[in-house]
Amino acid sequence: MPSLRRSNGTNGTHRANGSVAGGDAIIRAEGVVKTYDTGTTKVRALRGVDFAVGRGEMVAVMGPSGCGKTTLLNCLSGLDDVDSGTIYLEGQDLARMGDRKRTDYRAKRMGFVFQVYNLLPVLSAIENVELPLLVSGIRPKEARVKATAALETVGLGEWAKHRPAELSGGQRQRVTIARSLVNNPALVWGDEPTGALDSSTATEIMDLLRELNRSQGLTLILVTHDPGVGAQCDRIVRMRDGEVVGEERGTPAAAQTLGGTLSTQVVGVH
Amino acid sequence: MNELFTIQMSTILTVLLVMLGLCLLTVAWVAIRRPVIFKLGVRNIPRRPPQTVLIVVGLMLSTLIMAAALGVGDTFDYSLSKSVYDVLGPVDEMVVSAGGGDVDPSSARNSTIPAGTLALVDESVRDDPNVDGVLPYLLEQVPAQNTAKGQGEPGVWLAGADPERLRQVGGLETVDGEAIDLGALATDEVVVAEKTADALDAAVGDTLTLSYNNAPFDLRVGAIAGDSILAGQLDPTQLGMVIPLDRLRERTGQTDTLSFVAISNAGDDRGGVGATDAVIDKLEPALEGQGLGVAAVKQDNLDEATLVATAFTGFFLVLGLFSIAAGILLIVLIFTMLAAERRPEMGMARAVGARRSQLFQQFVAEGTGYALPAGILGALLGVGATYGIAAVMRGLFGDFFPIEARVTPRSMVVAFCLGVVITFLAVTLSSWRISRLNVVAAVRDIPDVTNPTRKKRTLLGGALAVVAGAGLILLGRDTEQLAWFTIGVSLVPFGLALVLRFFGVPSRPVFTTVGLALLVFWLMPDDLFTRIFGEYNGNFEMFFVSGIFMVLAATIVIVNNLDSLLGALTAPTRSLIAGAVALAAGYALRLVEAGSVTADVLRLAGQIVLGLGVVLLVLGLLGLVVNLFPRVAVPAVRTAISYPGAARGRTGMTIAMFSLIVFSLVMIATMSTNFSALFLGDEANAGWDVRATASDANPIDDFEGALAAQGVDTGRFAAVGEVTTPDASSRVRLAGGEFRPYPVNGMDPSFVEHAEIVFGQRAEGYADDAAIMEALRTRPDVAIIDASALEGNGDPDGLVLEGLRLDDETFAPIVVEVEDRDGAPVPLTIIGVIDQAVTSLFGFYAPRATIDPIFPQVAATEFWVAGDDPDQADQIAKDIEAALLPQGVAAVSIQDQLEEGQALFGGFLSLIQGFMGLGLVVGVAAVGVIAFRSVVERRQQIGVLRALGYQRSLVSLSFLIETGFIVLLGIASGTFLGVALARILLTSDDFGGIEEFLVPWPLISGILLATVVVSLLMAWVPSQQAARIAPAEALRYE
Repeated sequence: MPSLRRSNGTNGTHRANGSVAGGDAIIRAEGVVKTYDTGTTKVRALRGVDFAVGRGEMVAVMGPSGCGKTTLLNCLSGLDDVDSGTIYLEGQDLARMGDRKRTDYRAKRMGFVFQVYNLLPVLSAIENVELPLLVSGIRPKEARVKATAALETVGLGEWAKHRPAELSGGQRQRVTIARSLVNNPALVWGDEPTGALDSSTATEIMDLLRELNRSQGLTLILVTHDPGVGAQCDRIVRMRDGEVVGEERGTPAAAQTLGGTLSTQVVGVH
Repeated sequence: MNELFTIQMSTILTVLLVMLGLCLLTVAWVAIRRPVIFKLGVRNIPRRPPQTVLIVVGLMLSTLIMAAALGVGDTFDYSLSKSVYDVLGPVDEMVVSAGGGDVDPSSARNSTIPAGTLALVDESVRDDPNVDGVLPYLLEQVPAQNTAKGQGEPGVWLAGADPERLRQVGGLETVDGEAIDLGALATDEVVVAEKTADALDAAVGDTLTLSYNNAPFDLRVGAIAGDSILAGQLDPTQLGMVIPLDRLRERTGQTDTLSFVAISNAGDDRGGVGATDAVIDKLEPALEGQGLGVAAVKQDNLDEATLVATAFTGFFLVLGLFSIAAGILLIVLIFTMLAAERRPEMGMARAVGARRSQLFQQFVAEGTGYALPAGILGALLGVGATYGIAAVMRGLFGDFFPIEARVTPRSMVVAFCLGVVITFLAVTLSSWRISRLNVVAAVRDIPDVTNPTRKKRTLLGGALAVVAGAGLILLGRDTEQLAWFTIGVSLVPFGLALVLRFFGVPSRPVFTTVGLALLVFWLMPDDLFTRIFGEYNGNFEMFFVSGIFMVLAATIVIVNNLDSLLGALTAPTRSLIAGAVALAAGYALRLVEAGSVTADVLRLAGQIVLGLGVVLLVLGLLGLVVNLFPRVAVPAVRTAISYPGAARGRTGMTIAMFSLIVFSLVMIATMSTNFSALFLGDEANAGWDVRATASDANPIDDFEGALAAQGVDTGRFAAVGEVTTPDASSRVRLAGGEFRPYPVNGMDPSFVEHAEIVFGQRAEGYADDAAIMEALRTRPDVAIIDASALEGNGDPDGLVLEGLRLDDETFAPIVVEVEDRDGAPVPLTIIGVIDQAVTSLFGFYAPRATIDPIFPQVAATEFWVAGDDPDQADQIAKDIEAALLPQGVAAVSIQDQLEEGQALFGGFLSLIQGFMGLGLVVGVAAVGVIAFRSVVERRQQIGVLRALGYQRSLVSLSFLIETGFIVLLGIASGTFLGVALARILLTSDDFGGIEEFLVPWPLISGILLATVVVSLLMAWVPSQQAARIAPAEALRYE
């Protein structure tokens, strides 16, 4: 994808407490607490999470259902507010950014890949992809060129005019990835990016993400249940009951060797 | 009001109650036999209060409109009837002059009967238990002045009544109900009716100066009586006063004549009318051959009141049909959306064993839950609307008769039943359609699959539509009814389209072609239609039928091309090029030489293509504007225009709703403007500025001399002409035909010399209008007549010049016969028909030298004055009236009078527009329902947009733009169709083919702007809800 400019990130050296050595963290969270109040009960989704990701790093956040993975993603990406704690995005304190600035930041510096694709069903693939560009103020003609290039990068150049309902699950997720990358983001969040896909398609998508991480230094933070996905990442952060309970290095090379069978095996283990 | 569309109200009520009973029994059966299903249905009602409120508001509108229409009828019925009872009091019948056999009670104002009539009537009813009084009356119209208060009235009826006989039927009463003894009145006193006292600012004891035969005399106000015929007030618009009969006879010298003999039936003022037929049966033999007749004056007026009330109800109901149709669309829309929302739930229910009928029952239960409160609310608000309409009507027509709002319980029940039954039927049909879902597709919430059964149903529906259409075409041809024929012609292409769809032809080309073809058909100019299809008869119902089909056709075209239309905003260059091509193509088609049917159809198609080109150019330009704001407008527009195209059903229904209502409003506004311009045009006053009328009670021989004697500067007069009105009951017939009442007027040479009359139709041999005027100056045997005598342009029971229509230009001279005082026919030849733009002339006009010998007795003389400065008309009229008030001369500025009449007409049309505008509430409610629904449906997508960088304001803006587009498309469609149809009608020969077609753009813009603003306000609340959705929460939403 020649049109996408990327900094030459190196996988950061990280400490066991989740911080990134050398201060090259694209995101850093300290003591993040988030509680959901349903009126009758209070659920403490995050209980003082410390977390950091280096620029160009590919990190998986794993843990059982309800451990707070998605909440962490939402809070760190500015989609949700935190009760306490601090979050720095590229050195900027998220709490000091108003909704407008955060939204702007998301539009220009972040990309999202969701489990259920979350494409707008009324727009074609190319229109879905160019939305982040339009909202960033890029002229429609230029946006169309970039969106086309992004779709070609994910191998869907010929499917540009098709609506999501006319695409397979894997194709839809590729469109989502193209959309997440089209704006040259500093950081891409993935919430169960392979959760709705069959194993071979999941592998395909993970290979694509890994390739983008490697070739363009894209920072990726993936929330997942799937150890196969985790294994392809540089680092796996484990969560339980709203806390980070440990982290380990991923084995991307090994995972790559295992190829398409990995996810299936992992599902069996899980 | 007892009838509606010729059906007895009691029958309507019974049928509706039975239908309502069946509806409620159905729901009760579900509640008892399927309590779970019933609960599943009704529990949805309180789930989303704002949505429920909107649904109830939308549903209640049909009931409101019907209740208001029926309430207007009740109000007119009650007010007119009350006015009849108040004015006539105990008088049930009147014996009057019956020249030529016609019995017209108003002839009592101009004609007299022998004094011996009283004895004749007394003799006939002497021992009749049905009659409790016989009252002889003599009337003279005189001027009256209250010099002390500086007030005067040129024409007040001075009645003479027999005090003793008056006492026998209850006598006169003051407004407070105290008895007035006419016999005890001093010789110089008079009893004045209340309205007259108000007009003269007269109180008891004031001296009034009256004048008879140009001899003034004074009378003191002895008492003020309630307004009634007994006090000389012949109807609510007239002024009257009464003195004993002997004194009036003495003063006028009319000792052997009366104006009428009134008969009071036994019973009170309201009950006596029941004996009218028996009394008339008894009197008629005695009056036969005497030139006398007995008029059932109270009964006839009551019947007329009912007729007017029924006509108004029908009128309001037909106009309300647009709103009712929009309301039905709203019901279907609401339930289609509810079904879409609950599709997975319904699929799941079917998967675990629920039957299709149970889903149907569930929706019907829920629908009834909305319909019942909506019906009650609608009926109650309908009462409120009736009071509002009555208040406006009072302002407009209060001078003619007092208007008092009244709604009968029967009308409310009928409106309630009708509203609930319509809603129930619409809900039932929608539910039946909704319940036919594919279980798997519903559970997975993916688009339904088309199965072979459904395809066969499409084929069957198509075939049925073709057969039904063909049947209606034949029916239309047989009966020459335009409605049947045009509905049939419109159904056939729909049927064919469905058949083509069955064979797999793509939807867009098929339905676009059908829509455009129907637009060409409905927008066809009258003459082209006649040349292709022949002559048909159409009435007021065509307004509704044409509106429905044109809106349907336009909506089909729009909905099937939404992506292209709205895509123009994001690809403006393409749109501009396409628009330019369409303009060129349309212009080229317009260049085809008119003449043949094919050529004219091509020219019409060219007009439509031109219109399309303009739309594309406008959208393209709008797209260029959008591109000027890439950061905000482009993404907001991108999402805003995508959703309407993805939900074509609901988009189409909303567009159709707005289009229907706007069409009717624009059409009425445009027609009104053009009629105003037509009736107030330069030709309207025939070259004259002031009309002064003198009655025969105080004849004026030398008009200008009399004015000069009073110091009026007649040097300001450019010309004065005289027109005499010999007899109000004059009659005219086509040679050899039957005499019909028609006002006959005599023009003096000066009137003919100076009048500037435009003729719509000229007899052969008269090259221009001047030739006709020249003939009127030189020949005593020629006449002219107003356009209401043309066939199809006036009262079909009056004088009709058969075969001569508005669209004719010349005709063979028509010989008619005027009936003289002895009943003998006097032949005259009509050589011109006055153009309907000359609104100040009404009746049959011939040279005075011809008319005076036929009618030696002049009832009134009109003096027509042309001033040097038309702007001084009002002042001249005032000067004339002030100078000649003692002679009872009433003078008006013709232009002012026409403008007042037009203002009345315009006020009524504004009221109608307001009533029809109620339908916009339906459209606005639809916008609200859709917007609230969309927020729920798109919750997750809104989360995605927020995650992608859409600011809150951008989310909100996107919603507003989406609503704005839908509303604007509906408005544009309705405006185009309304203006186009008005143009076709007004320029057609049937309407006399107006030369300059006017469009009231400021008024239309005001209506449309208000519609857009209110719609956006309605969408603003849900758009803010959408903007406030927390992205993280929305992304979790499923």
